[in-house]
Amino acid sequence: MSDALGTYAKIWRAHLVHTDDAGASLVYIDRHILHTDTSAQAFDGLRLAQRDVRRAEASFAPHADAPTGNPVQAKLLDTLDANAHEYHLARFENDELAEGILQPGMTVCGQRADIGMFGGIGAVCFFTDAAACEHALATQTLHLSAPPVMYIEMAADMAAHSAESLLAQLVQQAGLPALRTHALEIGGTGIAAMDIDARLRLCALLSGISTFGALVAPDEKTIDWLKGKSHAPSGRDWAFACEYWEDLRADENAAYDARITLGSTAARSA
Amino acid sequence: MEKFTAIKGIAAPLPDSRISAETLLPPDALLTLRRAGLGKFLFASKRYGADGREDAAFILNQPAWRKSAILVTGAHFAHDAAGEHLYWALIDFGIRVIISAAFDSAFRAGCFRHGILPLALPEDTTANLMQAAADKKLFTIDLEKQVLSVEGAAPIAFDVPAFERHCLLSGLDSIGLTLEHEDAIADFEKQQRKEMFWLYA
Repeated sequence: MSDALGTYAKIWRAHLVHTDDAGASLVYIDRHILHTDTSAQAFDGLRLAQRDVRRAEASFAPHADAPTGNPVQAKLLDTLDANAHEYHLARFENDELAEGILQPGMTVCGQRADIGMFGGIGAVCFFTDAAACEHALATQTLHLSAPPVMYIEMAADMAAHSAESLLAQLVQQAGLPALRTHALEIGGTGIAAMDIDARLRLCALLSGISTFGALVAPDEKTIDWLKGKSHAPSGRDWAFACEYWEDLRADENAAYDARITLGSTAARSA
Repeated sequence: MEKFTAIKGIAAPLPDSRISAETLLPPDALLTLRRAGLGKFLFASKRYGADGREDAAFILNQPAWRKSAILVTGAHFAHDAAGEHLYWALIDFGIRVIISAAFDSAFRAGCFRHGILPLALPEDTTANLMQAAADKKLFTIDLEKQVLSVEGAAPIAFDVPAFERHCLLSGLDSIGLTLEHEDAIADFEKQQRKEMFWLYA
């Protein structure tokens, strides 16, 4: 039995805090991106149970945007703003998530639409409801069972396809149920040829389908994309972070629970 | 989460089967930001008339049952429950035990998660308990001994899985359970801070 691991499995393993007899695990969360819709109830739950936020500096609340004109939305924003002050949370402007707040190899939890795309730079994303949000705030972990992982090998001729076209082909080949129930790890020369924006778009789209999101291992393009961003590791930290990111590449012969190939094998060998 | 000790009181009979989540909690309640206070929405469509006044005929508005912590219900109570609001409302209202002949697994799991004991008992037993509840008999539920006693009847033994029982008796919700591993979390952070220091910069 080899110990060759895929990227998803490497990140999962690097964040395991505890696994119980039934196989359920506590997975450490590096960054928690709070959302107005789910966090109000979560903070209320903390207050009722007299619990504190475990790592306020790793729990990010968006700055309230300009008034929306929608009174419910405005109240939710105000509530999150007040909670962020009370619990001394980290804050961010919406475009800052792509400025290095989220990095390869991180475990991130939050709302699907906010974070799902960051699978494209190699972050493992978990999607949380109010109860999971409260759990992450209080413990900096989520209680999860390791999902089965599907490896999607993307041949070179796929690189030019749009995210929508790739999704359509995936649905046709793998079927929605399989896409929904697996964490999706995308590799191969096709994805390697895609730029980061295209990877982010693809992962955003796939995370709308898969319960566990989609992931692309970081490579030189990812590192180039992150370099110099305002929240990326800097100075001495940068080299160490790069070394960790490079280690996240899937091992040769890594075992996966399912595997499919997108695109022609002829194009791949060409 | 409040520890589950012996629960004693008059039980409220709700004989309808398949009472839906929407009957239990109006959609408006899902928009509230606070979970304390959700109890006032519980059974809103039955408890209040169109004018917002209480309907005196509804069982939970009658003096004997206003403070019932125990419900005896028809099968598949809240079979379509989704999300957490319903449990928060039940707890806020003061419900701690729900007795029925059949529960749907998601609702049953949700009850345990929020400190409510879902007690599945055989159909004929449930029918007797429904009558006893209507007759305002005193119910006592001892989770430690796993016995339900009803005034004037033989005690009824029940069986709750060991893990769920432990959580209820210790008042552990899912966060409380995780915090039993707080040392492991702290050790993880110490190690990660050493190896991936840039995450803590």
